[in-house]
Amino acid sequence: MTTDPLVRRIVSVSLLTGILLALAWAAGVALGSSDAGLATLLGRLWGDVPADDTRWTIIRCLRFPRVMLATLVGAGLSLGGLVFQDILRNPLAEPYVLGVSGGAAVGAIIGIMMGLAAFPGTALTAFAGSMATLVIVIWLPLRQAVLHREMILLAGVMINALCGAAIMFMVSMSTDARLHRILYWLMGDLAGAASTEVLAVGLALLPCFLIIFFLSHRMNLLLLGQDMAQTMGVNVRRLVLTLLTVTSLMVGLIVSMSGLVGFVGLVIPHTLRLWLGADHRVLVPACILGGGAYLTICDLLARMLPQQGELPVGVVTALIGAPMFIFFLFRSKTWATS
Amino acid sequence: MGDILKVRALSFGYGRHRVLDNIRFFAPSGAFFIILGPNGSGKTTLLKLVAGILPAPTGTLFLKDRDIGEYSARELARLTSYVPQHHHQNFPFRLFDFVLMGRAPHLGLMGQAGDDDRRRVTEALAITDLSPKSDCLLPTLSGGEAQRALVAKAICQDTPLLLLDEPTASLDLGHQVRLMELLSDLCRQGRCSVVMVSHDLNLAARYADHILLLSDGKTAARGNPRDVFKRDILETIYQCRLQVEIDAAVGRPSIRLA
Repeated sequence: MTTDPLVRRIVSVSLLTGILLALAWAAGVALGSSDAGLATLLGRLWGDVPADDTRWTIIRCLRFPRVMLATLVGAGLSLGGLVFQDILRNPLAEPYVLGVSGGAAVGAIIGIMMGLAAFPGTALTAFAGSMATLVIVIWLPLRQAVLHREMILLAGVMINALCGAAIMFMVSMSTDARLHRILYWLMGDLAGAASTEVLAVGLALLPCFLIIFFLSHRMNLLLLGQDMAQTMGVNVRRLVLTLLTVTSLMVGLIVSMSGLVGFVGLVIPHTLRLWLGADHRVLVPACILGGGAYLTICDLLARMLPQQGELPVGVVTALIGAPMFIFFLFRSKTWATS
Repeated sequence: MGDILKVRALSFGYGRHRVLDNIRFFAPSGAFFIILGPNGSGKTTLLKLVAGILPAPTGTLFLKDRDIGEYSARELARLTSYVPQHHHQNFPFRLFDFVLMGRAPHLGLMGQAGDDDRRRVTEALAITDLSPKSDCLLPTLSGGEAQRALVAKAICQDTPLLLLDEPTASLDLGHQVRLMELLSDLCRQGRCSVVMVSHDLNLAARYADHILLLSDGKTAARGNPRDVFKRDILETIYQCRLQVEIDAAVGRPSIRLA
């Protein structure tokens, strides 16, 4: 193994969060309302279970794509939160809080009402929605000589409220048959994902993850402030624009697939930062793997907790995330002094 | 040695509000250059223009005889390093890693550091009196320690021009003197030139080779400390009664309230 401490740290943290993700996958595939389980999976691998076994079909067609989708959504939203917190140097920034998710949701609902397919039709309208809010919330204030980060956050809160109102308006205009689906979708819904869609989303998200990882050292410099980053050789305008475009593409895609899942982008980056420090070269892979594991577990609980049916996964992320976050916040020494 | 920094007929404003008016000066290589002036006289704006944070009009600002607008951000970061006036850091970077970031313009995309880079960090921490704090997180440092951490980061950047905005503002007396001695040594050894903004007339009088005195965006006086620190000039600019004497032991002016 290499002696470079940075590489060693990235590898060891990725291994650790990777193990968490593998455990979450195992639980997500093995547990559910039917009697299909790990035994079925292992049996299929050894050839004891035939390919047309119902239990294997449940794992292959229902649980596996769902676990993969949860992983992608958790990874993307955590990374989105990390990027926004970096750009705004504000611990409160998150796609959901900044209205980017809300904008994507408005776009996605317009897509649904126009009768478009989930992928790529609704994904594109969702991307357009997230880009539109981003332009208003971040790009317009960025054009001014002096950048007020508080202004961006306030603008985001307002846009979020506006999007909320627009969503409720469209919901009340829609027919009864669609209402239940849209309401569930608004709280985050990972059910009914098809393998091909999940694969397409995964292929689209992978380059986004890679781009953000290769920009992670510059994100460290950006965290020191725009002036500092500029004088340390970073083309700040280009970096911010790249990060924003990549992130809103990511968030738009995710929202079109999963609906609005809050809290992941806040809880995961903060928890990992308190544990691992502020170096983005470590945090980016940790957020992808850890965020994926977190949402996989949350989705499992959303399936398992109710006696009948299931909860929207956004309810679970908030129910677990909020108390966990407050716990870490009060335990943290570095925040108490700042 | 030539001039590392040349400023010619530089005027600058935010919108309609003009902050700097027809500023001109040269900073020779290896010089300790200090910019003085009352609040709001344009000192920080001038320093930010030199640092490339604000865009200087073409043909007014030259680094190594090349217009500053022609440099890329990375090229500029190998020429100048910048210590800002205020810097709050809420995010938990380790002090050592923070100072190591000063090496960024010399490193690759992922900022992978070598042994030489880490040796420079250790050295910079030692000469800024921060070695025991190496493993501390930035938010836990005191104001003075954070200020010295910024200087250590800038020294690590290893640039021929070092720009500092009131680096002594939150330091105790001993650390003020040690920082000025350190900067003065760097200049004398020819490792870099220093351009610094300050409010401390006596420190400036003691250590500067050249002084630029700004008032309301215009050059009020320019030259070595003995030429600039005249009682009538200072009293007009600062609007208070002062006494200026030449300290016989060091041959430099010393200023106190009359």
